[in-house]
Amino acid sequence: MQRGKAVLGAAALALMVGCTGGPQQTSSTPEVEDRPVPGTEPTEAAGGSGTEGMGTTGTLADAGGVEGSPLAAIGADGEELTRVIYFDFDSSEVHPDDRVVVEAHAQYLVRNAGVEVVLEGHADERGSREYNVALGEQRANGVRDMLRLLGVADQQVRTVSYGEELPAAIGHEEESWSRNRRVEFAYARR
Amino acid sequence: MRRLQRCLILLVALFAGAAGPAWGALRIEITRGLESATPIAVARFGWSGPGPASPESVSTIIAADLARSGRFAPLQELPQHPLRKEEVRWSDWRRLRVGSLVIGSIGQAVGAGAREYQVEYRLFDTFTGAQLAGKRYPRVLPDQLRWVAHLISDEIYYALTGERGAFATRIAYVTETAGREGEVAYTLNVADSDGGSPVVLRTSPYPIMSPSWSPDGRWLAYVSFDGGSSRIMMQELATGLRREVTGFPGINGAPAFSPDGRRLALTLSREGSPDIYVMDLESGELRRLTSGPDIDTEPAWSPDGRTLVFTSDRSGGRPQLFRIPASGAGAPERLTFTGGYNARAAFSPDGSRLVFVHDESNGDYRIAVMEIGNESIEVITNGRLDESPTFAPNGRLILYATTEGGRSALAAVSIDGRFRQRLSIDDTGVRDPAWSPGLSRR
Repeated sequence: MQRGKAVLGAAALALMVGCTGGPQQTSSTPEVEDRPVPGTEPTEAAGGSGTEGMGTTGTLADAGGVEGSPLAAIGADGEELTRVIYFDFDSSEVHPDDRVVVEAHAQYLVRNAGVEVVLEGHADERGSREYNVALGEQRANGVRDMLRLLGVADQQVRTVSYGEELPAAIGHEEESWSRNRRVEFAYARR
Repeated sequence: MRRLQRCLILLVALFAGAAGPAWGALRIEITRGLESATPIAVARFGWSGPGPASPESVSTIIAADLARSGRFAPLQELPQHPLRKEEVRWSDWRRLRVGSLVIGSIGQAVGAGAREYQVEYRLFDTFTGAQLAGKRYPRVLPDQLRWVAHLISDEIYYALTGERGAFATRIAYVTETAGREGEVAYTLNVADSDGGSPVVLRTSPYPIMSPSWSPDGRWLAYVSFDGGSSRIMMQELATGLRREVTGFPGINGAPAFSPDGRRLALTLSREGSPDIYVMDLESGELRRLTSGPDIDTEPAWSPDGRTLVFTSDRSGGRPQLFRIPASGAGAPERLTFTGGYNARAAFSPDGSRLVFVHDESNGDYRIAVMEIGNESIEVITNGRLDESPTFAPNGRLILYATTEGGRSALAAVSIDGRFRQRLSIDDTGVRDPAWSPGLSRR
């Protein structure tokens, strides 16, 4: 079962992080403080979490980008973190390559307890719509569980699944579908 | 922050509304007709009121209705348009081998306001000259003329086939339109079964999903994502009155009214994974019917209200259909064993069949029909991304969503797969259809 694998994977990752400090952890002293990217300071006008790019397919596709983002998550290297991770067909298992991304988000959230992330789960368009909502939630929950195992407080993480309703790419072939099977990290201040 | 957010949403909604033909009517084309369709003639109805003509061409609507059923082939060129029985040249119709003729008239209602009409029609067997059906609707408001045409179609259909028609019914569907700035508006719509008289129930910059009719046709339940989280909403069609049914953390989805209208089956994931629940609509009390770590969703009531069929991946990875007693007592029984993906079932009105989304394992998602108690299935559509099947209340046609030319549209198919039609709106994605129950009135 995919879910089982995801949970196992998350547990394994947590163990690995616990033992070795994780794949790309630079040092025990974070050099980066919580600071917004210039020009994107969180303001009243920024809108709440989960509303980012809402209803605008184009913006959602670029949800990893800086424009219009209410709050940027900054990694240990000072760069903004990747805000979308992608999944295989019918799978909610975080790709091994993307675990460092989730881990970096976890570090950011642990350092910034006043920040909340909404994990938006998405699916490709194949199959029935409500089942795809369930698939999207599995993906978002898998990432949430990893964040928790990595020490992020429960109250900092919320999930929502849009299923196939908000595609990042609108084509009807695998290239688009692979961009639509995703979890997006949407940040806001709590 | 919330306030600004709302303002923004409102702005987007307003803009999208002004952006163009977002709420056009569905256009229906018959894409595959049947040789076996019975010829019928619907003569142009006479107009006896003042002014050039009645506001709706009732006879055109009736002919189109009959054609859309797949069972009748209305004549295109008529040798005559008789208004009264005495004017019918029977031999003309017999020579054309047209066995059924509909004539009728529209005029101002007697003793009523100038804005009311009377409509009458008669259906004849041209070989015997016998009248098979006929009726006068004495007082019809202008905006009721289309509905009266559908009622007449139902009466003609019944007189000729012995079965109930499904013309005086409505369909709910969701449209997606892009504004000039690329922003998207989602709209919940209701229209007559032929796409006529479309009404917008709700527009939002957030997705809208899964409309479900109450059995009396007065309410729709649906899923809203307003504010960035899912909720099940109910809306009364006549008043627009809206109420939130559930708004738990996680999934609030797949609402389905029970046949008695007192309960709503739905999907919640508040206990961790999606499970089937039944809510008593009067008390709000929730009963959980499934449990475990698997996905359970898309509940569908059997017409007798005793069982629910739902989608679950509990058998290992990919979804299959399962059945459970609505009482919650008893283990789910697996129903589908053919193909790698069987999901989103709907019952036929007589409860004998299920229609659902099926993938044989070749990556094409199509609509399939299965008789309950018989594991073999029949695939009745030929798309790649077909979904959301819904039965006409007379069980003759299945309406579903499909994707063609990169855009989502609706399509309808007869239960044997032989008769097909497409329902589309220019520049607008249409999906998530739900066919209303039989209605006594619009």
